[in-house]
Amino acid sequence: MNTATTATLDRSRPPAPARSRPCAFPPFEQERLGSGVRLWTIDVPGRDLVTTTLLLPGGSELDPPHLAGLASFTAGLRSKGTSRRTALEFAAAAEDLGTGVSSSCSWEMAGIGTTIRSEDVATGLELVAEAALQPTFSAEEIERARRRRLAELDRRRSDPSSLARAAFAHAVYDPTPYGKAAIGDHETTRAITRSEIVAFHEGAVAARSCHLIAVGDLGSGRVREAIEEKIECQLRSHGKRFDDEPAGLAPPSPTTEGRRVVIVDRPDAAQTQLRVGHVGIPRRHPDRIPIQVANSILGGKFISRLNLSLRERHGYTYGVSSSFSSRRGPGPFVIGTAVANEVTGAACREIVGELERLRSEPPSQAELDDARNYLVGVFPYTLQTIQNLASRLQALATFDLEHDEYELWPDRIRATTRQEVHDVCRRHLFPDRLVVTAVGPASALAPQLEDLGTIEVQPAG
Amino acid sequence: MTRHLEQHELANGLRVVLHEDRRLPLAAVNIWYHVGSKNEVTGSTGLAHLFEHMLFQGSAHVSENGHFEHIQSVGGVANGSTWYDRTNYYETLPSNHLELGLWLESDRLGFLLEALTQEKFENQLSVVMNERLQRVDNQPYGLAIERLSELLYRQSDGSNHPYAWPVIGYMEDLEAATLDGVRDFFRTWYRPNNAVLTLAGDIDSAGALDQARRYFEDIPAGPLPQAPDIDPVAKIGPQGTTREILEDTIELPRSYSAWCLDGYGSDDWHAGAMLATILSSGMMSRLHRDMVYERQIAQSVSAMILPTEISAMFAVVATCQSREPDPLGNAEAVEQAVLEHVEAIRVKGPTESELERARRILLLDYRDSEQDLALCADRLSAAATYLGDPALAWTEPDRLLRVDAEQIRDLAERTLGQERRAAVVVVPKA
Repeated sequence: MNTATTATLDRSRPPAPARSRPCAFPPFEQERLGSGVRLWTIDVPGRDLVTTTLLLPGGSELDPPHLAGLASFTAGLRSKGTSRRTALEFAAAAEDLGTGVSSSCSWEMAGIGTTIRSEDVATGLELVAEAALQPTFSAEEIERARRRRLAELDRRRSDPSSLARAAFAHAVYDPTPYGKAAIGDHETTRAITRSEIVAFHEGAVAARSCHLIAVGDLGSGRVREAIEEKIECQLRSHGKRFDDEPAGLAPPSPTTEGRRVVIVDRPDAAQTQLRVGHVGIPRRHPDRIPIQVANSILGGKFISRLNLSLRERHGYTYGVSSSFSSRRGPGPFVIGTAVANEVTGAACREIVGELERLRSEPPSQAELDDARNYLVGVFPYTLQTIQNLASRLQALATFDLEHDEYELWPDRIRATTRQEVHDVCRRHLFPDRLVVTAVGPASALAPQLEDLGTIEVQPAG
Repeated sequence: MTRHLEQHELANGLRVVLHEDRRLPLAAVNIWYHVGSKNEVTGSTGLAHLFEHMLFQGSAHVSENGHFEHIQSVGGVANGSTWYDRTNYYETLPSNHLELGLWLESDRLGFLLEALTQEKFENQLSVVMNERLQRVDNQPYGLAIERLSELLYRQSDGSNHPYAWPVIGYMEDLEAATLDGVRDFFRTWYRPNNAVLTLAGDIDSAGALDQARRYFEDIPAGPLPQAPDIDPVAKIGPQGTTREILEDTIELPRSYSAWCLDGYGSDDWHAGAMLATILSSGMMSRLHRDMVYERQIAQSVSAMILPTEISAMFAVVATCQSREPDPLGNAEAVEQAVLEHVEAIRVKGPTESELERARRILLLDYRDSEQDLALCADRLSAAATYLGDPALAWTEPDRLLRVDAEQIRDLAERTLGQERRAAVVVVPKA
């Protein structure tokens, strides 16, 4: 076609970018309603959709050890029958509008939410309020939920990645709350009674420490009116005080002495699931920004040291990644991968080597540039949907972050230096104190892992 | 709301689909090659997928890890995937880097072979084998779908239907794969006249089309093989129920039932998609309400229809709530319950209120998913590739909404009979 243009095409180097279009986190509003609930909103017109979530301060970190799973069990039951509707009637009311009311539970907060057409938002909010304020917790629904949860716990006994996750959490954190799966175990699930569920729920529904998030097509005040009519008036009559900060998150048990290797024995496993790591840092921590950059270099993206080594250089795995969890307490730093059984030891030594390298010298300028550019450049991609935006607001609410957190974040990432990254790696990565959890055939794995640290072998399930 | 959409065909046969949506400063580059595992032959399964991996290993002007390096260093997200009928490659970029995506995609279409090496091949073969271990061999129930497809697409004459083997391929075929096989696959199928390129998002359509021409139009077209000649009998699935019991390292027994329907885009396919929603979307759906909620014999139940061209698998998967007291007996109880519900649809069809609920669920789900630019671009490529018209991506909800109760009953009566079912039951290893 246009030969003149084709002739000038130089394929030997990447094209120069066009002028960039700035993209900031959209403006949001926050206000304290009369009930004490804090309302967070972002108006995103044009999709005719709204996503709303009521956050309650009843997360899994509050589970008493002998009742692990209580918070998430309670959360799941809120939408299973209210004083106005049976569980089926409740489900039908949402599904007739094409949606559902979902219950969620993180370590910090429980949530009740729905994504719905803007014209139906009043009904959606009515259901959310009903689940929050008038759940019945009937004996029948409790037993139904218990059976399902016990079955889910059964299922995890033969799921390699669930086993790896649970064994890692236990090895790093037991006996603190993070040491147990958020859904508890068979014993604690059987021990939960209705009165404990009711008491936990009553404590959690306290308007002064609840948050309501609404993002989407807010229809110039329509959603605000629906909030007043469907939620506010009920919450106002319900306000009980609940501590903003959880009372008893015990410090995690530090694994200070040497490395530990835990093998969960699955004699027939065709592959080994690996989790390697240790205690990380809380979400609110002054080193959070440089740690994000460091983690990006280590295992936070495809072009990372771990993935280039384990996958692209050695072919040990389909993929490997690392993360520092965002929790109120010091959540885990963990590297996760699945590797061929016969290279498990070699893969672990590569991992240890990469951690040592990050501690021994700062990353190159090119690695730092790539990581910073990736994190800042991908930011708009992570803000595409109203649900993406809502979860960002949830993080502000949950961790009590500064309101300009997202406004300043790109510049803070850009300002991170090689020295800062090196410093935080020295402060927060401990290759000599790793917990290595391997789910696979113990007889094949033990000889490969014995030089890493003391080995404990556990049966699966 | 009117939405912008254009389709062009370049001189070499490459179809270019353009969709401007400038709400966010993102641009999606999405390219579909109309080749997938169905174009493989027995003995070299997994080649299409292995090939997809090789397309991320550099080309004449892009270094070994260059593809991801270039994209990630500007904040882009990239991947690819292989399916029975097609292979796609895509990246979502800050929109000022659109040209980078075109440079990368055109380089690996036009200038791949010189960069392929035995070393890269062996490395990616090992990665793919680990992918298979992770997704299939070391995954609870991982072999069940593989076996179900083999049973559903078993041919009366003993030959293999191209949907009978798994996209990722059999381990023994992967072990026998060669670099020459990969090269041949590329030369045969990776031609601009076998591809659709969609550019969507914050683009200027005229400028984007110019750039697509600039980067792609000098890549020569080539002859394409004929579509595989499929025995029409194979399109309708097995003759007589074919059922197997598999043992696996699992706790909860599970039953799979599958039937063969007309392929993606057909009226039957749309009726099948509505039926799947009626059967298992939401707590009020037929199967969920009865088996999970009321009788509590199932932990979960899910009906689905695969978007495949030649024909489509309609499957219902039900997982027991317990293995006690008798795993096989429990699996057969959920299997029986599924069959009774399917039979009821064959006789009476769904109710109007069920249908209306399903319509609303599908519509809201579609609207919700349209927030994802990469998915929008992928749907346009799909409609252009399979149906010849990208605009059909946007009217798919209309076609689903038009399905009525009698159409569903009729579909079920014609196609979901016991005698055309393939089934796999998975029980815990003794």
